[in-house]
Amino acid sequence: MAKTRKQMKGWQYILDEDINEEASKKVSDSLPKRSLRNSRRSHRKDPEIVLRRDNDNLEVKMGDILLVNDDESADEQGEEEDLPSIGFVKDIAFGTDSFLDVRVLWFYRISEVDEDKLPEGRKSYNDNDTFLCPVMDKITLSDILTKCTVISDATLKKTVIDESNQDTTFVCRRFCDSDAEYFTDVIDWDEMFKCFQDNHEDFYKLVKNLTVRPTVKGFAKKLFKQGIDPRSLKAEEKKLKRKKKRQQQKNTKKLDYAENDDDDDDDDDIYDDDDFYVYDFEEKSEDSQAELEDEDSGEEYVDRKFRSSPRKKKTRAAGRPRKRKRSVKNVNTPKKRLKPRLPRVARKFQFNEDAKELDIDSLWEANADSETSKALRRAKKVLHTSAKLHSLPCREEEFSRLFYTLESAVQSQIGRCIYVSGTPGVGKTATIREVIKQLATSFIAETKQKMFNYVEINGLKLISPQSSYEVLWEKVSGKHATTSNSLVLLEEYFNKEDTKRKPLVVLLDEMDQIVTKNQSVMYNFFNWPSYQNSKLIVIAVANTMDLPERMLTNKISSRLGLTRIQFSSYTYTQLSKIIKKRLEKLGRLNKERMVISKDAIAFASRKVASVSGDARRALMICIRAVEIAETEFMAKSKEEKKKLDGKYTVTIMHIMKAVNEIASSPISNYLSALPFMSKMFLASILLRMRRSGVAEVFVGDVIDELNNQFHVMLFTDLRKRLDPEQLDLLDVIYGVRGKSQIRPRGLDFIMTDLEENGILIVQQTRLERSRLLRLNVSQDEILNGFRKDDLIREVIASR
Amino acid sequence: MSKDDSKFLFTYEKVLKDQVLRKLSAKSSGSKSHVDLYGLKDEQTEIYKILENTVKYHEGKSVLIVGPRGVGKTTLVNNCLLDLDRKYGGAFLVIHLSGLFERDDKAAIREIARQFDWIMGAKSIKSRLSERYDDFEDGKRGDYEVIDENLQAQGNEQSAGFEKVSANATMNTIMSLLDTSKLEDGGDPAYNEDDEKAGVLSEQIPIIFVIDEIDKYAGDSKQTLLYNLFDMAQSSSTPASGESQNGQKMNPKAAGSALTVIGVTTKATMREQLEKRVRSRFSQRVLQINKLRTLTEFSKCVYTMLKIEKQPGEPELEKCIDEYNKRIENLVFQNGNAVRKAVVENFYTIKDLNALKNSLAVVVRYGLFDRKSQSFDPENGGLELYNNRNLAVLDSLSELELKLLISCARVKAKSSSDRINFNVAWEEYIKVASSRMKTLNTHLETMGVSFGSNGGEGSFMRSRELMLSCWEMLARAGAIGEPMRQINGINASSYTGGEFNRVYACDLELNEIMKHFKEDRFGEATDYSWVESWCRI
Repeated sequence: MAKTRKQMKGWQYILDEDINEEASKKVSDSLPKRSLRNSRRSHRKDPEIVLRRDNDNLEVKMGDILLVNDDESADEQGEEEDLPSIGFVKDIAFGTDSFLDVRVLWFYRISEVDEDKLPEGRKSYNDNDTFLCPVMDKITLSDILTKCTVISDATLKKTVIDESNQDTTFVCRRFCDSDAEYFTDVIDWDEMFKCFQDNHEDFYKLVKNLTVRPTVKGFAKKLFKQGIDPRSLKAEEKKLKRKKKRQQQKNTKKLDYAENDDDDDDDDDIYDDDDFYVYDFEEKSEDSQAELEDEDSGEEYVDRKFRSSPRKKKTRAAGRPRKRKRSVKNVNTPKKRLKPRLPRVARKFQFNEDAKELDIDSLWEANADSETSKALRRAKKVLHTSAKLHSLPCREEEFSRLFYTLESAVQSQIGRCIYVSGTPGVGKTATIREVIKQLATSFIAETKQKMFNYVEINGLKLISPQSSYEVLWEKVSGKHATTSNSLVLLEEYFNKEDTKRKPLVVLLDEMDQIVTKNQSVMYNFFNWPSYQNSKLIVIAVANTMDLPERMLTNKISSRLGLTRIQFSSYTYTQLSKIIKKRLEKLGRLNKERMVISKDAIAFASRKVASVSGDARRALMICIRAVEIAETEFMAKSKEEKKKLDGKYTVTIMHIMKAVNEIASSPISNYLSALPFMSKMFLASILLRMRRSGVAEVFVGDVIDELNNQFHVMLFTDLRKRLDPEQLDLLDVIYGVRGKSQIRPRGLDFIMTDLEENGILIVQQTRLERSRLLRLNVSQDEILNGFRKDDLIREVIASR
Repeated sequence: MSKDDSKFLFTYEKVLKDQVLRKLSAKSSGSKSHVDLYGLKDEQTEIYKILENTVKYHEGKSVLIVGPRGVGKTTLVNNCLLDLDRKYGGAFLVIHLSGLFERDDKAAIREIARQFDWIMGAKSIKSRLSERYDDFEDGKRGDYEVIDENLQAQGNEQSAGFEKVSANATMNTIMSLLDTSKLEDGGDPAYNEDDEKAGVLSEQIPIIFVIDEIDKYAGDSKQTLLYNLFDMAQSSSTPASGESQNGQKMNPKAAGSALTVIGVTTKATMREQLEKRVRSRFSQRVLQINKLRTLTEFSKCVYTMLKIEKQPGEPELEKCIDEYNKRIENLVFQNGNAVRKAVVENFYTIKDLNALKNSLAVVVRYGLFDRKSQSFDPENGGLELYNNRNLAVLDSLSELELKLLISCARVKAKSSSDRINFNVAWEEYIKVASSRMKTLNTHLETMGVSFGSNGGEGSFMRSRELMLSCWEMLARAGAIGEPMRQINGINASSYTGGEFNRVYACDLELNEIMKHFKEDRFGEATDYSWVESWCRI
């Protein structure tokens, strides 16, 4: 995109009305607020724009495939050299907020895709395989490197890929979803391209529909395997409802979806899309068996054929210079590509996406209908600590250390202790769980059977330390026993030689909480692994690094061994990476991810990193900021909302508010709202402390001090306020009856109130005057508040 | 106010009185009706929004509501829950805990189990009633949208319910029910297909925990309850069920039952009291409710407390309510009024609405509608209730006790040490008594009357044993008390060497005693004029 004509420098555009007259409908849905207008325009013929670069006459038009220099300068780590992204030009149009919009759909390169997720395994693919995903993005003209071609499988066999064209020729056999996690079946690119030329809008929709993960499919498949008819389940109701519609589609091939779509309204929103996916699934489940088999065999056929074809392209040798036409001067070496990046610590297997998760949108109420509130709500969901993660960024090193240690321990069937430490919220438990999951899958993949058992014991989720025996024994034997029995049985169990027994991995979370006085529980947990036949692997988790030295006796810390993994708290780069990673789930588009602005993320992560490096806290701040932004947005007038819709982001101001809210203590607020007498009481304590120089003050002294103040000071302001009420100051303080003015009224109440609110610490005794008082908050905090108060100022200032 | 109007007012006296008194004495916790709160609209909507999010979007949160006593924290939560119940009745569960009743974590967990049992019990009774004709087993298992299937299943599995004999087992049951984060091993036989089906298909019911006096649970070093609740609130919001090809799976039973914890406390320093890993799991949401800052706000609040909402219907009653409200407004806002004075006094001293409520209830009951007197004294804004204990004790002492106490205070004043035992006090008493005797004798002698030697001192001096019992009385009444001695932070065990030598601290100053009895005490039977001379050193 080019914001102004100036940025078009080096480029020319040609309005070519003759080119492709039939296929010039354009619908943009990248900016939602414009979608309506655009869709109305969609049936009008627009002139097609062709862009031409001055210095090499490179022509760009719709349907071209471009290599795009896609570096995100904001990203600091340029770990690996990056290939230019491949983009499919969906359309070029005069934009509203920029002069020219070039919208592309991205291709995933095979190197960017998680190999384990590829259907049929990595080997059946070439290195220049690409996958189109339904992610629409705008690109800048200056980023365009050159054109390239994408060919279908069929064409691949005809053409020869050699060094001359390997950088600019790609094969597209499948599409994938925006996370590169779901792949479609084999697709003929030529046919697809034809489809694009017919109708651009429908092509995008088609890609989108094809690549959506059939949400319930996995579940249904699984049930099918188990011999349960999927139709007997929930799907049945839906099916009945939509039987009619489905029958229309029943025998249509996938490509026909595009045509069907024509009947739908152009401003289809997500709801409709969702419905559409459901049809997709239902059709599949209807005749799933047959169809699946057909497809499978078909795929195999293709693959066999493909494999037999000579592999002409080897992996790109590192030293070989890349062929890339660098005709444009401002094209730098691409640093780092952020958009479709595979997760660092990829989950090698994954849970079925819960059907509900995709359904989120249908939950929104009518009033929360605007794009922004939707986006904000999604952001909140994603940022919540419980959100499902596909990866754990910034914990790669710890992950691999744990993984290999555990792997070797399980394989060698030898007991072992691992000590993991780190402050709260640095991802200790999450990482370990992830390791266990992946280890389990990797073993199953290798040996086709479960290699180890796993149990989690959290010190804080037990009533007493000893009950951890019960939990462990229940896990080991499946039976319940009392604590002392469990201990005996476990002892016996771990001593007995049993070749069939699988290694048992125990995660001992919050270990410091199961430390008893004689440390017997700890001792046992670290002693059992040392038995020859125990096959017990203990992962102990605690907050402090030196816990074994500090709290445990030598005999225990020596048993703990030397395998220690320290989780350092996150730095601010890591925190912002984590936040960004989570926001990535919102979508591939920059726009969608911009719910929280970059500065704001950086600010939040810096704030947290400087204090604790606690990821939970960072996320909490972001969620709160989103909430604040939400309320702010909701408070705006309708016109403003409309204007801002889709563009509204959480800014640094919102983060600041959230941080302040979390950081500010409620004490100063509480103090300023105190009644006059309570303030006087505190002031007297301060005066006394100042005089005696001791932090602890007797209540009797404070009472004397108060009496002193009331008789000496004028309290002009207060008197002025009381006068119109026809009240006398001393009457108010001591009560009308209390002529003797011994003690102000309600002192006990005031003192209890202050104590309950955590301002004072009062010695617990039956006496009144001889009780000791101590302030629980800093003197300055009190003083600062009181200086602003007219009524009390003179007492404080008099010193 | 014309005479007719006031007469008019009295025709509905009883109706109005009942309404106002009901309002004044409405208890916030556990009541089934709204209690109007002044100036807390924002907070109320905020809490409501959080709760609504929990019920609607399954968003777990933990919130602290902090504020001094009597500002309406619990009432606020209650109001929100009532609103929520009206809108989403049955779609969520509420568990109430109080740090005052459930003293420690164990008791709290037991209470949670008990409340689950109770809810399930109530529901299964309901279901049994509605499916009266089905057989018993079916009735028990009847599936209602309202009932969380998993809860039900759990309840049936262990037909005894959630509460177990051992605290451990109870804890485990609760944990397995609520804790979603735990990674379960696939081989577990407990999770068969039924569970799985239930886990995937049935919507989990959101649970709202309301914990009063949450600071009591932060006293324990482990803070187990808070850790677990906050952890669950954090990790439970999105439904996280499902499994892999190989059976390693998340616990499907408790998939995504959203959990929100609302803690109510007076401690402004509550957040700092949380242990660091508990704090890390806390949602960092603190809502503060403070006392009202200005007198106008305060009096408006009092006005809302006293006024009656208009009820459409009887026009006469309506007019009467108008009249009443006008009158109240007059009382609360016009300077110089007794009620107004009470409000102002309360505002500047303790600023406590409950105290005011109590005294106003008396006014409403006896004064406000009284045709004749029209004068009502709200007893100094309820402050009398908060008088100092020591001074009240003074009034209740007998003459001998008082004398002994004065002797104590004298010793204290002279020696400037507040540690006194009976022997010292006794000595001082003898000294003062005999000197008083002497002066009396000289007075008498100058008047020419001899007191005689037989009665003489004996009539003033009481036996040591008698004085000792007085001493014990003083200790029991709290006029003197054992000072707290701390050795290494632990309260030292009290002295066991006999009453004579036991060390006490005198809790009153000499001048306080003197001043207290110096006041005009007309109409009192006992003559306290001697006190002054006794107090003179």
